Amino acid sequence: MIKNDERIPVTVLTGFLGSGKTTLLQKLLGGREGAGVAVLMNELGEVALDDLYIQKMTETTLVLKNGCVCCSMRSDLQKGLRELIDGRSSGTVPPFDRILIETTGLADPTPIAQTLVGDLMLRRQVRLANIITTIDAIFGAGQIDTHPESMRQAAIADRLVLTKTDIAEPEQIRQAREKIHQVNPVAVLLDANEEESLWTQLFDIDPFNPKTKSTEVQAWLKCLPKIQTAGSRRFSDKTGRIQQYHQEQHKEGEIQTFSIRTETPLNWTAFCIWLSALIHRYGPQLLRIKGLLNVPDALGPVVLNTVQSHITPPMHLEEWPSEDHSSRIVFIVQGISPERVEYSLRCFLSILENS
Amino acid sequence: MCAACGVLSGTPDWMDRAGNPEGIGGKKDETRRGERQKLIKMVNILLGPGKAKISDFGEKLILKGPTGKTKIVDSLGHVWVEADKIGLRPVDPLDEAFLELIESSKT
Repeated sequence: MIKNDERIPVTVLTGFLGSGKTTLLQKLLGGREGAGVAVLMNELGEVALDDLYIQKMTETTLVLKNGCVCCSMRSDLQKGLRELIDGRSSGTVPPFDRILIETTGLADPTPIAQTLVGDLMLRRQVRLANIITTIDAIFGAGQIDTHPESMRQAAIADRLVLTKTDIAEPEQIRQAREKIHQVNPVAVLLDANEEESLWTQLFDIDPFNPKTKSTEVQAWLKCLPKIQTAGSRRFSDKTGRIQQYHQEQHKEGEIQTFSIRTETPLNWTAFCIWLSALIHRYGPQLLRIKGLLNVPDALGPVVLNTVQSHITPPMHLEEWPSEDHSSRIVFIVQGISPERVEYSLRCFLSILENS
Repeated sequence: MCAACGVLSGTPDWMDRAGNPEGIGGKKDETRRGERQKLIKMVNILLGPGKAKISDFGEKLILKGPTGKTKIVDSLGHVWVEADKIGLRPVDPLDEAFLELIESSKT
């Protein structure tokens, strides 16, 4: 089990067109800590001028050519990352201790995670950190409703940063917050204009960092009661072991957040077979899975974190955050019935662990 | 790496407990081989409806299809990918008919 991870953290900054990604980036890089951040940006018409501004602020900016970083440029992203890392080693690039990738406004950020683990050389040098999504307080709620890209960006995030709150009407901010909570209730929601600890929340704490995993788990565990009371329903199953206690239907009927809880310790092999098969078949629809699992004989409660088909090696906590030692898993899915997921897990565990 | 399943060839699977520095740890007396035998037994239940089967092949696995066609696979993720190609029925954990089949196969 890895206790310290010395690899370079790679933060992904995404957000819909005009949602304030570059403004946030300027704010973050303009601070004292910004000097240690290398930036990878992709070049589309929308951001070309922004690039010039950013380059004035940091010498360690690499602009990727030819379009969208999320799909057509995975090899370019690999090349860009290698250039930065090699340049740091050789001294041709100023020192940095973190890389930030800014995507285009229409990008799905998850292929970036795949790129980071798919390249064996890169995987030894870099690791995924937070996926940050900016959301416009004025137009964000509407964009999430009408643009699937915006909804997926919000659903997949670890950190959601509400922008333009200084010029938005209070009602617009309320609607944006409500919409964000519907789509991704377990992400940390920050205000770009009020959050004094913006840097800490965005960069110092992340779910893939062994040093901050406990803080991160406790943050999303706190969200569970909120999820339960937001239109939840409870039903029992045949065995009584697994209870899905939340199901939230959005009017779009596409992205849903729900959780599964089981008091019985999980058979690790059976659970992993189920998760692996589920991800193989439905990976693109499994936007995020976060879990705290009770696995017999493990060194501690096991922390699970996936981004679509990307599974980071599970970590464990030194101790349980509370007296509650049940396994709890939160799913943010698209186009998948929560009931089916719960029923499937129950069947797999029942069949496989008794085999 | 398999682009379809995100599995890294030649590295410990994220689920392995024994001998895996990135794993979650476990019983000290549990061997990698012992873990693997449990895995094979469970996975074969799921491959049953598709008339496919896996067996141990050192650090790898051999997948055998209904026509006798075999494929060497690196990891669990690869099993699903190849089983889709050579099996008669894909492993679909959300397909109720599939779940009924594996449930009935045990009785």
